[in-house]
Formats: sequence, structure tokens, C-alpha cells
Amino acid sequence: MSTSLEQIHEEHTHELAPHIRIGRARAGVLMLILSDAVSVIAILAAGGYLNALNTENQFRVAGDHASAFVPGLLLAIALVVSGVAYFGWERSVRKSAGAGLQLFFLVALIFMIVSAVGQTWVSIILNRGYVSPYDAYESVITLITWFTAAHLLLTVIIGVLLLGRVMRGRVRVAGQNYIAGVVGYWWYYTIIASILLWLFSLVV
Amino acid sequence: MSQVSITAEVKRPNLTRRLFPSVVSGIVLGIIGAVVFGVIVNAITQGNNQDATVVSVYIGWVLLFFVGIGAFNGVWRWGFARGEATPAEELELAGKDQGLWRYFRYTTDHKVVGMQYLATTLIFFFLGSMGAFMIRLEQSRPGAIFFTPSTYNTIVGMHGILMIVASIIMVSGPFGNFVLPIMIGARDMAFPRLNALSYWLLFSAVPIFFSTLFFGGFPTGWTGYAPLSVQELTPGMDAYCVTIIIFAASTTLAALNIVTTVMVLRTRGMTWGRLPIFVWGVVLSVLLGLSAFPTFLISQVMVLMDRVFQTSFFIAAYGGNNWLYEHLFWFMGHPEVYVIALPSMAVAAEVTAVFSRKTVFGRRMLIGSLVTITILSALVWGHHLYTSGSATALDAPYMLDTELISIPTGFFFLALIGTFWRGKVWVTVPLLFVGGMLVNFVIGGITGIYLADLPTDEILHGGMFVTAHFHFTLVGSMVFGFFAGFYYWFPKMLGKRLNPRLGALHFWLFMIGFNGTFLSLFYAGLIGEPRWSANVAPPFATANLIASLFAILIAASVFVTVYNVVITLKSGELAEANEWGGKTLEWTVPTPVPLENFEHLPVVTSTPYDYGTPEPLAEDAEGALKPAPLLPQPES
Repeated sequence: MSTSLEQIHEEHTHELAPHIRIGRARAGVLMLILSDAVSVIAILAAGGYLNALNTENQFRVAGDHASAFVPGLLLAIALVVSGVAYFGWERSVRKSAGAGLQLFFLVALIFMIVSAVGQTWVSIILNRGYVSPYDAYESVITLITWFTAAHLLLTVIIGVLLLGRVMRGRVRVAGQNYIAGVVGYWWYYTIIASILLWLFSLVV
Repeated sequence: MSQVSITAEVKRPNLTRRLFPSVVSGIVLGIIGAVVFGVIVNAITQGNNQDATVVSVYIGWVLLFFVGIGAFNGVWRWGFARGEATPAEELELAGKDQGLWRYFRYTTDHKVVGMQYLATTLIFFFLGSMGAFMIRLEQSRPGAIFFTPSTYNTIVGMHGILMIVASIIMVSGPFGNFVLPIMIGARDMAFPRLNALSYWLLFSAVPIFFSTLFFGGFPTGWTGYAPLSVQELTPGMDAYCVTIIIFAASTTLAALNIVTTVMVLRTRGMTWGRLPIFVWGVVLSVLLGLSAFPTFLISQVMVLMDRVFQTSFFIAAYGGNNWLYEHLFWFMGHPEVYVIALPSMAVAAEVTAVFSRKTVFGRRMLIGSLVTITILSALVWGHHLYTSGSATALDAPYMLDTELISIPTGFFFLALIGTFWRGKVWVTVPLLFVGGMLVNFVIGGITGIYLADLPTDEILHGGMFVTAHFHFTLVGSMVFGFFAGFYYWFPKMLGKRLNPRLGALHFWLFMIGFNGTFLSLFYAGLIGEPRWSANVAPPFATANLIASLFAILIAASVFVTVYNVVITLKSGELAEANEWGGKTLEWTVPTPVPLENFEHLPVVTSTPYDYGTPEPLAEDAEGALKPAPLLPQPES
């Protein structure tokens, strides 16, 4: 068969210019955030809509409860600490061309891990208190808590990968320090989305 | 931009390296994952939650499939390797020197991914059209003929999902991947690994989707409406939900990749104002998808939670509501029509300009109208809920929004007819399909106005009129647009020339068969035939018989296309590098297109439809585009 399914063998490879790599990473993460934000908005809108409809007055019945306030508050504080620490690391990476204060990053990652584990624990405890079949309110709260846990878990995975790069010195390499900033977009977004969802679960 | 010569460094892989990782190792590990996950969850639930077991089987399959095909290798490397991938490794990942086998690996070259999408689209269309033919067989005369009502419903649902998925990916997948990067002067997509991931996600959903046949099917139709989907149905419904979740993830990744590519990888001189119409159409389409598909994904997560964990998002007795599903579904469902339409309309404009040898009439007006359609289409979903009893106060705004879309759509017709006007029209197979698209789109568009208007929709909704309308819009218009692109870019993608006589035969069989089938169904709808009925009632028998007879022509057109593709690949004529004398960048590169497309990136100095002058710039001028030779390329 002599078609384009076959290929030419003599090739060269061309590397992307640094400013294109940076633009590419920024645009990609921002697009991902845009798409994910629509998911968050869909969840918030769904909860608000079911609450407003209150079908057959069964949206929230006596005994329905959200997750306890104090654990939620502690998780929110942990997330804020994680965000501030990440910002500190990112800033130091930017200023010293890659050689940032890695302690800040470790603090950010540890608090993110604590938040993810804590959120999972909150979700498990919460669901133990609900009786199947869950009513609409319990369904919304369940979705919010587990969605947040999954979000935080994903950020932990990204953080662990980034930690690998930091330990290998691959953020310090010339032209690679933009990675701290780009991952930061997702890091801050996750924190904001998680706190927003928690606040929503308190008022819905 | 630096260039590194690495030709000597690439080693020819041995058999083990060919198989691991590849689709073979992916499937083997995927099956193991499905079994292991299924057994574990079945043991945990003590066999009391069939849905949980089935969903865990799917999750096991997908996770381990991606381990097996090597999707996580790049992720691992990004985090924990000592250095970045070398140029030789990147080229190996792009499929260098792997022949046909690169189509069965996690290959990152955008042309390979484009070809994978094209093959998948054609297979989906083939299977979906066979489903359609089974539907027409069953409906050819009153009473049950071949299928039970439940089987019939599953066939309708599978036909619907297959065709919707195929038509969502039909342009942005094959041409958006293969042609678009070359059109903007890029060497690949912005994120080649994500590109491969988006395709293989789609692939991993295929066995899940067809597994529904072994789990009782999903008699909800393609919309999967709740609460029907969460009540008393077999686990076949889980297959629908997981398929949609994976498909939504796949399209989201593809969308962010395409948008990023166009944002950052345009070559020098390729300003937004000089972007070919096709690129505009694809970018707007995927942007719309990027904002619309997440709600569909969330809706299916909710359905799965209702089915597996006994939540009650859609159960009225526990405070849930079916309107929630309808809103989430149609917030995706109506923009999705334009996700399909925008790139097809852009293909039609592209093809019309080339075969009229004129710049697109009112090019900026056309781009503006595509942008307007994109914005308006995100605001019209409520017209699908006119008769649901939900929020009637919003009916008038939705009616207005929906009708407003006809204005920018009208500009599309104006632009194409204006392009034909006094053009040197070269009637080819692609242009035949553009003509067919224009005719069918008028019918689909005008009948849509009756459904956008609440008073007439009250009468027509839920009937065959609706079926005929959306088939005229999606198939008669947009699939015809796809085939215009298919015949137009096939010589560049496959290096062979499709037989034009068979192409014309395909067109006429399809056009006559399609119009005969669906005009008959318009009539059946007008005299009151309902849509969701496995058996045809006697008053509608004649219209349905006529529709079924014309459907034979559509089936014949499918086989003509298959035959044409097979004989062309086997013994077709070699195509010229610039088969149609096009001015866009993909026609300036050799056929077969080399890896990384361009030896030196081109510099663009004019719009891509400058047929007024023979060349955009004198050939010897610095930065001028060098057109590809109008001769067959030597075989590789």
C-alpha cells in the first residue's frame, strides 16, 4: 500500500521556543480551569435549583444535616495556608530564577495532603450519618463533599509530581521555572473552588 | 526555534517494545483490571449492588487500559525522571519508523491521531447507519416485525448515541487534528500527549458502550432522561452513563488542546484575521464544547450516584426533580448541535472558496456570524423544556433567543451564495456535498422555526416532525458538510484520489435517499405520528413504508463509500500534493506529510483565499510560501 499511511523516514526534530512553551502551558491550564469551573457551577446550580424547587417539600427534611462546621473550617484554613505557602514558593522561584525556598513548597504540599485526607474523612463520616436512600439535600451534600475530595486528591497528585521535579532539580533548570507559576493557577483555583463549595454546603 | 538532527539516534524497536506499550498490552491489562475490580467490588457489596459491580468493572478497564497503553509513562516522566524526554524519544513517541503499527500505539503525531479519528468516525457512521436501517426495517409496516419493543428501543438509543458521538467528532477529530495544525503553520498540536489521550479515551469507551448489549441495553433513547434512567432499569444504563463521562472527558481534552494550539502555535504572519475559516469554525466549536460538556458529565455522575449509591437527584418522592436532568442535559444538548454545525459550516465555506476560485464573500461577516451563533447557542437550551411544565415565564425569552440564531445562520447562506456568484465554479464531489448541505440546511432550518415557536411546538413536539427536523439539520446539513471535507482532504490525508464517479454516485444516492426518507417522516409527523413508538400505527403506514424504501438508497450510498475507500486505498491513483489548487498551508506541504510538517516554518503574508493573484508573494521573495509541486510525490 503506497499511501500516507506510510511515512517519510528522514526527520529532524524542532524544539519549541521558551516563550511558546510558557504560553502553551498557561493557556492549557486556564482552559482546563474554565472547563472545570463549569462543572463546579453546574453542581452549585443543581443544588440551588433543587433547593428552590423543593419538590413535594422533600428537599430537606427534619434531621438532615451538613458536615460539621468545625472540621470544614479547619480544612478551609489548611487550604488557605497551603495556598499562601505555595504563593511564597512560587514568588521565590520567580525571583531567584528557579532556586526557590523549597520549604514553602513542602508546607503547601503537606497542607494540601492534609486537606485531601481530611475532606475524604469528612465525606465518609457524613455518609455514615445518612440513611439510604438519600434525599435530595443529602444527595447534594454527598456530591459536593466527594467532588471536593476528588479535586483535592488530583491536586495532591500534581503536587507529588511537582515535588519529584523539585527534588530532581528540574524546576531550577533555565526555562523551567514557569512550571511553578502554571501549576499555581490550578493550585489556587482548587482552593477557591473547594472553599466555595464548602460555603455553599453551609447555606443550601 | 532550534533544530536538532537525531536521525541516527532512533532505533528500530523489537517485538517486545512494539507490543509493550501498545493497544494489545492496553487491552490485556484492561481486561485484567476489569475482572479484578469487578471481583473486589462484588465481594465488598456481597453481590447486592449490581450497578456498583458493573461500574467498577468499567473503571478497572479504563484505568488499566491506560496503564497498558503507556498513557501514564509521560506523566511519570514529567515528575520523576532525571531530565526531559530527548528529541529521539519524542520522535519515537510520534511514531517514527513504526509503519502502520503507530496507529495502534499511544502515538502523539497529530496526523496519526487525525487518521485514528477518521477511521473511528467512519466505523461509527457505518454501525450507526446500520442501526438506522434496522429501525427503518422495523418501521416499514405496522406491528412488530423483527424486534421486541425493548430491543427496538435499545437499537434506537445506540443508533442515536453512535451518530451523535460520530457527528461531534467527525470534523474536529479527523480534520481538526490532521489539517488544522498544518493550516496555522504548526509542527504539531500544543499538547501531543493529551492529543493521544483524547483519542484513546474515546477508544476505551467503545467496549463499554457495546457492553450494554450484554447488560440489558438502555431503553431510554440517546437522551437518557431521568428519572427513567435511574428506575428499574438493567445495568445496561450504567454503560450509557460511563460512556458519556469518558466521552465528555475526551472532548474536553481535545478542545483545550485545539484552542491552545491555535492561540500559541500560529506561525509568523498568521494573525487572527488571516486564519482560515475552517480554523475559526473548529475553534469556536470546541470552545462551545469546552463550556457545554461539563454539565453533561455532571448529569451522568448524578445518574450514576442515583443508581449506585441510592441518592435522589431525580426522584421526586425524595425531593429530586427530573427538570434538573433536562436542564443539565440540554445545556449541553442544544449547544452540541452547534458544536457539530460550526465546523461543518466552516468546511463548506472553505470548500466553496476553493472551488469557486474566489475569496469567501463577506469573510469577516461570516466569522462574525459564527461567533454570534456560538454565543446565542449557549442561551437557547430552554426551548427543549417548553412542554415540560417548567418555568413558563422563560418561554418567550427562549423563543426569541432561538429565533435570533436564524439571523447569523442566514449570513452563512449569504456568504456561500455570494462566493459562488461570478466565481469560476469547479463542480467536484466536495462541492456537490456543499450544494446538498445548503438545500438540506434550508429545510432543516425552516422546519426548526416551527419547533422554536411555542404555539406550533405544542402541537409538533414528541412527533416524527421533530425526528425529521433534526435529521435534516444534523445529517442532511452537517454530515453532508463532513463528506465535503472528507472528499476534499482525503487526497492530502491518504495520498490517494477517491474515485470521483463513485463519489458522485454516493452523493446522489445519499441526497435522494435522505430527502425521500425524511420528507416522508415530516408528513408522518404532520399527520400525528409519535416519535417514541416501536410499532407503526396503521394511519402512518404508507409514509413509513415510503421512508423505509428510500432508506435503502441511503444504505446503498454507505456501501458505495466503503467500496470507494477500499479500492482507492488498494489501487487508487496517487494524489497530487496540491490536488485542488488550494491556497491554505496544508496544500504547501508534500504528500505524505512528513513528521513535524515543515522543514522551515512558513511566513504568512496574506489571507488564505487570495485567488486574485497567482501567488501571495513573488516566489523568490524572502518569506514567500513555496507552493507544493503539482505532481505526485515520490513514494516513501
